[in-house]
Amino acid sequence: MNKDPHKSLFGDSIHNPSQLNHSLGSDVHEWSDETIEKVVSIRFGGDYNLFIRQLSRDITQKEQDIILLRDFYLRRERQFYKVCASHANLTHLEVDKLLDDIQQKDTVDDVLLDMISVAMKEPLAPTLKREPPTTISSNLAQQPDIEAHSSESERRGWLRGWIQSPNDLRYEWVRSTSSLHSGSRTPKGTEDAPIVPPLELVSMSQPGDSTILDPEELTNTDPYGFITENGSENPKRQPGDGSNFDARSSVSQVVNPIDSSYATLQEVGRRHDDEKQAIEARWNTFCNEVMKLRNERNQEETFVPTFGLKALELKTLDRQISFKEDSYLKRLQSLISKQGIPPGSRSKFWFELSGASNIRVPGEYNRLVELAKMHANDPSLIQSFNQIDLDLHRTMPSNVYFHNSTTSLPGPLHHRLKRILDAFVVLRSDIGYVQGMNKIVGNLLIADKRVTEEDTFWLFVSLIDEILPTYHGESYFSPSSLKHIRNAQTELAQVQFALLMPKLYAHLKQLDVQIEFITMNWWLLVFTDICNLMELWYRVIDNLLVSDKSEDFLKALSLGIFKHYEKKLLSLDNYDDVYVLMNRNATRNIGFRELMEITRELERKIGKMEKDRGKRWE
Amino acid sequence: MELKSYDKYRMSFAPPTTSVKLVLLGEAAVGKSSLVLRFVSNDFQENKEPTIGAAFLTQKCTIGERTIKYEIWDTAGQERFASLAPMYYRNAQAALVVYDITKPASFIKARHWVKELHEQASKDITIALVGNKHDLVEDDNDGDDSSLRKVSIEEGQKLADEEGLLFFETSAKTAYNVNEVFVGIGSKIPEAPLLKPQQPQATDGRIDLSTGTAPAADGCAC
Repeated sequence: MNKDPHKSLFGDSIHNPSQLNHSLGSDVHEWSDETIEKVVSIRFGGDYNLFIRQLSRDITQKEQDIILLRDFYLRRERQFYKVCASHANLTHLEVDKLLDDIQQKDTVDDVLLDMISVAMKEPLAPTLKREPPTTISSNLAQQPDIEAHSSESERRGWLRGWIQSPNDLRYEWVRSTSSLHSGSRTPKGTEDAPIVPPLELVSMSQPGDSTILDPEELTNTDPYGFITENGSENPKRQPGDGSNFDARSSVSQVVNPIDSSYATLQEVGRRHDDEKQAIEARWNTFCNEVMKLRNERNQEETFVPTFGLKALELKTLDRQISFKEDSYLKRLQSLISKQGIPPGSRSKFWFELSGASNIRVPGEYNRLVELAKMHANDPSLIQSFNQIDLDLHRTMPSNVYFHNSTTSLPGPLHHRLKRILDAFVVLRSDIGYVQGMNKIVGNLLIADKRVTEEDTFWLFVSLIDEILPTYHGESYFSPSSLKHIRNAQTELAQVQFALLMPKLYAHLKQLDVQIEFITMNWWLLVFTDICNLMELWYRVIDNLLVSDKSEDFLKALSLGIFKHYEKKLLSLDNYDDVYVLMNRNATRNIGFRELMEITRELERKIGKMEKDRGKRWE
Repeated sequence: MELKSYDKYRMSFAPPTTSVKLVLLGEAAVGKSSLVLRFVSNDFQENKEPTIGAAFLTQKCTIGERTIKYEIWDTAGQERFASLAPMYYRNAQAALVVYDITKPASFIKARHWVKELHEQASKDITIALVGNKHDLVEDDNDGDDSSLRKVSIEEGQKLADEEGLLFFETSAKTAYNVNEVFVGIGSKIPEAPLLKPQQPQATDGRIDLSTGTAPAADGCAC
């Protein structure tokens, strides 16, 4: 598909020879305005001139193809006349007359239909039923993964997805996974896909690896795929089913390991269920209210592309409310900090709150994966690709999804991780691959294995572009941001820490602990390492997504972890014990709710400090 | 906590403990963390997660009459994080510059690190140049073209001689020469290193400074 771009037929000069092939495909005229805007902003940095240039380049390319084809068929035709003459003794005129008798097809549709009907008669690959693609929806039926996010309009009404109880969601997903299961069950690489539908349609399912993702088949692992055998490998992973919220806190007085009579168990179960129901009810009320208001508003306003939390329009809705504490944004933040997003709908919330649903362009991910393959040796990208390959087998080696310890073969998510990281490198060659991304994407991949690879990719992109702090317009992982992140640590250690936790600060200072040495690691890994309980890290992301200012949240979380260990830290009299304690396993016994509430409180204080400081400067 | 009180008890009789801040530098995936893991826990993991930022570990090591407590900062190898290194090697008394003897690029990077340390780190820093992954070339015969080895012992030794470094070839996997590196460094550390005055234990322990310089244990065992 990719002809040498230098050999452009009409001398169309291509400005940057190393530029990747950005061909737009042949359905641009059918794109919605939004899609065009998105594509222009993502691929061309918002420059419509580049977009037009690309369109014209595509046309040139097609014309070139047509000329070559025409030439090819002209020769073939000549050959054909010769063959007719020598084998059937037919003259030119006779052949022409015979050909004219064959009915003329004068529209592309007729020709296509003709071709399709011919194709239909041919034997098909056993798993994929193919129907004439007269309407796209008929194809979608065979691509259930896409169904959930098929059209733009459907995604705009995203709240509907929340309100349908998690069971509905599950039904949708189960359908999608089961139909994949019924397909080929050979967990091979992605190469052996028998029929390749258009990019837009294959975009989400990577055949091959999606069939393996069935946690029930894996023994001795927790829901996230970490080996729990003997508890020695990962004692800190909590084997709970994730839907547990913080019911434990209220339940703990009841649970007594000795007196575990049936009645007690029932009581525990009942309380747990009650709490769960109460939480669900609160979420439902909230979502219903917001959706109602939004529906009213949507009718009168045109769609303006907005990202993440802003897309919720909570702030706009809040203007109609007089009591600040009751504001929708505050309510959402409070719901999330108390309970986290209900695990059953977490991925949907993430997708919306992060802005991933806004920046996702169908088919774009697959294009990027293909580009990554084609440009595997591109000098500007090769360093990143090499580093990814080095790190792939070092990503969560104790997790069965990434590394099968019995066979020593890569696990099913290994390949997804590679494709996502590779695609990211192509999309953002200015950032490239930074160690730590592997861990973040890895965590996102195991968060909800029903979420497609493509969606995980966009979630990751939006985390970096929209959610994590940016520094002078450069994203968190840009090379130039490193020094700003480092400065943020110094400021955190010397200003906010000192003001908000003076006693602990004085103690650590006296021990000669350099706080920024500890927090730097947390920040570079976006807390994946320190919050090594999956459920806790997901809580962190939940809260990050609704934070007013993500840098303040990260600061507050850093301080919150210190706060949580305050007593312990005050008892230490040696700085290396501090480093060891705050290294890696710190959050082992942390209560999620407690940490998140401390963090929220600190975040408020930090926000206020920043505001005051801003005022003083004025 | 229990250990600490034991330490105090021990210190009044045993030789003084010197704290040494040691930093590891080198290209990604040359085996820095594995060397530390081998030294600290005598363990090896085939797939070790990459280090981001820097990891902190401590390990004691007895050399002759004295005990050295290494406070190890194991830094991230990816080029992207190189600008963070000064944070960690500031005030370090020792550094291990690690390369992979099967990867020539990592040796070039090691050269850069040595240069940077000489320019930026403390003047009296003790540096050891370490060529890791010796296990990969163990069975090689000399002059074998198919050898995985891409950096010869002579090249390593030459750089070490020019720059005044200790030199070792090691294998974190087989434990070959790993302890020797830390013993070698310890022997080169001056008796009264620049210690942070805030460290009460260290000053308590350092009473007798009369012990002679330990015999230099340089050169590799090969």
